Amino acid sequence: MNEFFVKGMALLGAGIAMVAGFGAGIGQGYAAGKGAEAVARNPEAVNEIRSTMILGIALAETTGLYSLVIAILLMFLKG
Amino acid sequence: MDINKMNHLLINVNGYTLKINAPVLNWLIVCIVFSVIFILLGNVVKKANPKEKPSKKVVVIESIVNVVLSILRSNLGKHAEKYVPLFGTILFVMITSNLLGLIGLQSPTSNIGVNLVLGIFYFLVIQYTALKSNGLKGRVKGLFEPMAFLFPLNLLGELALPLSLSIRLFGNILSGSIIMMLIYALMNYLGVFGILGFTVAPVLHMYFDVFSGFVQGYVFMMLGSFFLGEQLEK
Repeated sequence: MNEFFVKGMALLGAGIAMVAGFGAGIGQGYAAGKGAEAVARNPEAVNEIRSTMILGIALAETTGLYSLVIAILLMFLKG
Repeated sequence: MDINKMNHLLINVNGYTLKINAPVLNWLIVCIVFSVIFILLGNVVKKANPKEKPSKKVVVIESIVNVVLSILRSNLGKHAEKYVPLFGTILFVMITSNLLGLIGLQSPTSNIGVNLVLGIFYFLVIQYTALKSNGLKGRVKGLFEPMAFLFPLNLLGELALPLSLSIRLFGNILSGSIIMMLIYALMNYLGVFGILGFTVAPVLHMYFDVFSGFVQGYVFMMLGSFFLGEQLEK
């Protein structure tokens, strides 16, 4: 196992780790869609809906960011 | 891969070398500036006479405090006023430090050390509040609810809080700054056509620094107050 193999595999792993962005994207899109529905149903509550939606989206983003941190660690420590 | 070549400050103390990374240095500067500003503004408010017509400064300060208070009320209820100084400071320092990327400095929050310290600080505040409001017995009992075998999960949930808060902030701000770094590197690489970057970069700065910075500052404060509100007595 030479050095280049480790490097290549680490970079490949970083790429594969970012597949987690798929789930985060779906979750965020779902939250935004439901937020739009809620605004259409109840236009007066738009401010509360917006802040709740942003909070939910930021929470859904977390799983994607975990994978981002793993990818960054792989790239900068091994790549 | 410039992340290992981050500029840093070296301080020599009796032969020992102290290395301070640029994000941490920026964090210290933001904190000192905010301390001075808050102390000065606090003096202005303290001197104001509540019976007279308020001056312009006092009105602005009051409206800022009211914004923070209205956000906190939904999570903390009647305890909101007690926690305005803590969460208000966190909100303003966080937003300012996220916006530092706009003037070419490294955001303090793109350093995991700064974020982890903030996360651990939240953890300590929340655990202290929980102990104070429930007592030691009630706190330990709370960990075994709703069923005894869920104890490890509950414990893990408590310990995951600082980690998840700090990694969320770190990932968001760092990814923004890396993308901006790549855009500028691309501008450099394209030569004359790099001028096109001047049309793209401001838009991306708006999203990654301004929007992301505000949202993450808001979310950091909101989640902290949410978890704190769960532990407070109603």
